[in-house]
Order: sequence, then C-alpha cells, then structure tokens
Amino acid sequence: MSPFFFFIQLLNAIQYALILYLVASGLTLLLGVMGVINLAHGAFYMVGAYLAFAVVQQFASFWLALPIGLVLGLLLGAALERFLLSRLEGADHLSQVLLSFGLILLINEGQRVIFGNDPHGIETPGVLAFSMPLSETFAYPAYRLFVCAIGVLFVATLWLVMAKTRIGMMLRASAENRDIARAMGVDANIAYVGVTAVGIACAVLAGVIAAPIASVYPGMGDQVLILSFVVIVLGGIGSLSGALAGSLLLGLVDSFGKQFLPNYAAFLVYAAMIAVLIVRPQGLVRGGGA
Amino acid sequence: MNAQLERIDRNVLVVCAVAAATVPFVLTGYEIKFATTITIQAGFAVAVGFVVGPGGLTSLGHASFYGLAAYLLALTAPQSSPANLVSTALLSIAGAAMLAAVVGAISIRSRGLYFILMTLAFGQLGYHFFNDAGIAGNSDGAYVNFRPELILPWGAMSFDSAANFYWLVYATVCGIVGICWWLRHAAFGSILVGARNNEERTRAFGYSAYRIRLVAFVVSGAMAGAMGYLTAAQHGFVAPQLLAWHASAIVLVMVLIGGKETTSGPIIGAVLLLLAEEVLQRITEHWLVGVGLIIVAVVLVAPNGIVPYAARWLRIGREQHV
Repeated sequence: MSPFFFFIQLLNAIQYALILYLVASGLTLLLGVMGVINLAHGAFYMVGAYLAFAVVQQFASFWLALPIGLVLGLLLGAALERFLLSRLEGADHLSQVLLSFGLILLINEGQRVIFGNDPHGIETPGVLAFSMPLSETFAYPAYRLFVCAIGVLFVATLWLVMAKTRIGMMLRASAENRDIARAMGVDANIAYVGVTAVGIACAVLAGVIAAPIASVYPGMGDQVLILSFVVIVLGGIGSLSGALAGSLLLGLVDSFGKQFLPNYAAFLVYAAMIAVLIVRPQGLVRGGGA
Repeated sequence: MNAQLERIDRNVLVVCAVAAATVPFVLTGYEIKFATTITIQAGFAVAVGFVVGPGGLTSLGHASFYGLAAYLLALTAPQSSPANLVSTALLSIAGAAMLAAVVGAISIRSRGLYFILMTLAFGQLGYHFFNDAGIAGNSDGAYVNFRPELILPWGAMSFDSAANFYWLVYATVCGIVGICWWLRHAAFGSILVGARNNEERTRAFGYSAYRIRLVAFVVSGAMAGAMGYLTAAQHGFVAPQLLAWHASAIVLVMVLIGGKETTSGPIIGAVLLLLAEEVLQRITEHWLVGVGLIIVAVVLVAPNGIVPYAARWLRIGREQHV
C-alpha cells in the first residue's frame, strides 16, 4: 500500500468524521443538556442536503445555501423546542422518541412531496472544482479539503464557546446536572431554545456541506442518525470531546474498513459499539461535562 | 396501575378478543388477510409492550428477534413441500429466545439511554447480517414456498385458506396476550414493576433486578419470534427490512400511542395505526404525512397513550353524572 493511498484514506476518514461530528455534536448537546433523544436529527441533515440542491437549482449558487441553511436550521430548532419539546417537559424519554419518530415521517414524506423519489447529485461549487495534486498519480479533491477545514473550524469554535464563555459554562453545568444548574440560576427556557436551535442548525449545515460529496436521496438521514448514535455511545452521552473521539474512530473504521473488508464495514461499526459498551457500559469518555 | 384502569384494560381486551373472533364470519378475502396482518402486529406490540411498560426496558431492537424467527422458517422450510408447523415454529421461537437471551444479558447491564442505543446497535447488527453476509439472498430476501402445515395423527391440517390461517394467528396472539396478562398480575409482574420503580428496594427484598428483567426480555423476545414466524408464513417471503430499526421503531410507536402501562394499549395502538395507514393510503400517495401527524397529535394530547387517556376521560364523565 503506497503512503499516498494511505494518506488519502486518512483524509477521507477525517472528512467523514468531521461531517459526522457536525451532526453528532448537535445530537449529544440535546441529549446532554436537555435529555432529549431526537430521532429526527438525521431528517434535519437531509433537509440541509435538499436545501443545497434547491438553492443550486434556483440560484445556481451553492454558497448561498450556507447562510440560508444556518437561518433555517436555527428557526426550525427554535420552533421545535418552543412548540413541541417544551410541551413534553417532565414526560419520560419515550414521548420524545415517539414525537421525533413522528417528525421523521413528516419530514421524509414532506421531502417526497416537494422533491420526489429520485436521487440527485450536486456539482461541486466552481471555485473548488479541482483536485490538489499529491504526487504524479494521486490527487485529492479541493472540496473535501474545504470540508475538513470547515470541520476543524467548527470543532475549534465549539470548544471555545463551551470552554471559555459564560454560555458554555451554563450548558456544561446543565449537562452535568440539569436540576442543580437550574437552581443555580441557569435559565432553562433560554438554554433549551438555544441548544435546540444550534443543534438543529448543525445538522442542517452538515447536510448542506455533505451534499456535493454524498448524493442527495430520500431517507439519507437515517444512516447518519444511526451512526451519530453510535458516535455518542462511543463517546459518552453529553460529552463533546467524546463525540469527537467517537467520530474519528468511526471515520477510520469506515474508510479503512471499506477498503479492506468491503462487505463487513457496516458490521464492524456496530460490533465496535457493542464491544465498547460491554467494557464500559457508560461510554468511552465519562458522560457529563463537555 | 389503579384498579379502575385495570378494569378498563380487561374490558378492552375482552372486546378486542370478541371482535377479532367475528372476523372470519363477517369479512372476506383481502379483508381477512389485512385483519391477519393487524393481529400479528398487535401480538408483536403486546410482546414489546411487556418489556417497555412493566419492564421499563425501551427496546429499539425487537425487530431482530421477530426477523430472525422469520428467517429461520425461510431457511429450514423444504423447497417443494410444506414445513411441519410445530417443529419449525419451535425452532424459530427458540432461536429468537436465544438471541434475546444474548442481547438481553449484555444490554440489560446498561440503563436508560444506553440500553435503548445498545438494543439499536444489536438490531442493526442483525439487519446487516442478513443484508450483507450472503445468507438467504442478501438484500433480495428469500421465499417460503409453502405455508407450514400442522401434522395431526389423522392427517395434515393446511393453513392455505385465509380463514384457517387467521384462526392460527388469532389463537397464537390470544395465547401471547394471556401470558402477558398473567405475568403482569402474578408475583413476577409485581417484582418487575418494583425493579423498574425502585431497583434498590427490590434488591433489599432479595430479588435480582437483572435476572428478572432478563427473564422478561427473553419471554418477550420469544413472543416477538412467534409473530415473526407467522409473518413469514403469511407472506411467504422474508427480507432484511424485517429486522431494520424502522420495524422496531414502528412497533414501539404502536405500544406508546396505545399506552405502555396496559396490556390492551399496544393492541389498540396497532389496530389504530394500521387502520389509519390503510385508510390514508386510499386517499393519498403521501399517507405517511397523515401517520406522522397522528403520532405527533397523540404525543401532545395523550402522552401516556390512548387507553389510559380514554380511561381518565370515562372516569371524569362518570363522576359528572353522579
């Protein structure tokens, strides 16, 4: 195996991991801070991908999809918390599971009503539609490097916000112990709306960014949802650094697994998750803080 | 569960059983087949409801027990003659129970969210096993060419007619409901609920919460297996979708919209959801929108499920009359 081939697989793994992290970090924030299991998180990822498709169709510009996706994601998230999740306060996890499963059906079918059943491809945006030569025979698409860059930027921003700001402190406190954080003056309503808005926006943006790489097709959120859950379990519920570790692990298993054991890559992912849970029933990194 | 809810629960079960017994007499052809599907799903939902409600174990992986049993029939049935009902059914149920024992033994160590996600991971493992590993036609699925028949001393009893097969399903589901009702109201059920409500107190009484949960999980997995077997026999076809997490989620939806604290809730949930599907499918191609709206509406209006909601509503009505 040539070092360049290895390097390309590594880049693929990182790029895959970062997109996954974008989805999983939102999911784990919702879980950690609010205790909400959002099965519809993958569906919001799909919303982002179809948004990118629609924007490219309408305005012939991929870049426009990023700000639109951000705003749409924030609005959808805020509405989800305000009108639906907040009504389930005090109910057990099961109501949320049920509610978000209902949302999956609504979003998936809404997508079919608007866009139909055909898969679509999105062209790589013009500026980045070239490949970076690595050697005489190997090249790497610039767009994928751009995805890596965005991902790294996102990881850094999220870390800064969570570790260095007052808001981050409140969220970490809520993830650690919701009731005590509340008693200490964390305004749960604002924190919940904020976390849901940001969490959903992350998923939508991940979908926008992934659209030129993965094709856009009905039900595409399902796979991502399940993998994000695997990431969260690997990392420990509510732990952002754990989710990052989990994403990278999954990225490596996926990208190298597909090369060496193409039939069993999917199998390996779940086997890894079960193995981790057998050894550490509460996740790799201790749940709780960020 | 209070005495009033329990009484209503029992009454609903009796009404369901009587109504279901009239099916072969009042319905014909396609309608009987549809009633068979509903009855099988209702039995599956009751089995899942038993671990989700009294057990407090939210499983998102029960479709793997259901699907494994279906596949076991497809793999063991002879190509050109009907399989023996008793032996293949026992094999399928035993297989499902064994898988449930393994999955349960590992998963029940995790609690809450981790348990849900653990069962989800096992479910996905099962799905990918039949989808990718080259057994029984991968994603294309496999056929059960002949419906199994019951070998009796005086000859074979065939279930090829829709009515005969319906009676087989009806009897099996009645058995499952009976077992669940009995377990819920026996000491076993009390300990199970006790372990859910207060694990330490249960331990102080000298019971192992782990062991009692595991037994409940295996019983439920075996019953899910029986339903999977009947599904394979009904359609003569199995595919990896039987084991997909969507299947586990849908049956959980049936349990929750009906009411997980009751035995009749999952039945009502299954009947309502499948009837709604059938009606909506005739009206619009995008019937899933309707199903989604129903689910969201039920969560918001009756978070504990329809049966407890109806019970409370009836009680208020009665009090006003007095």
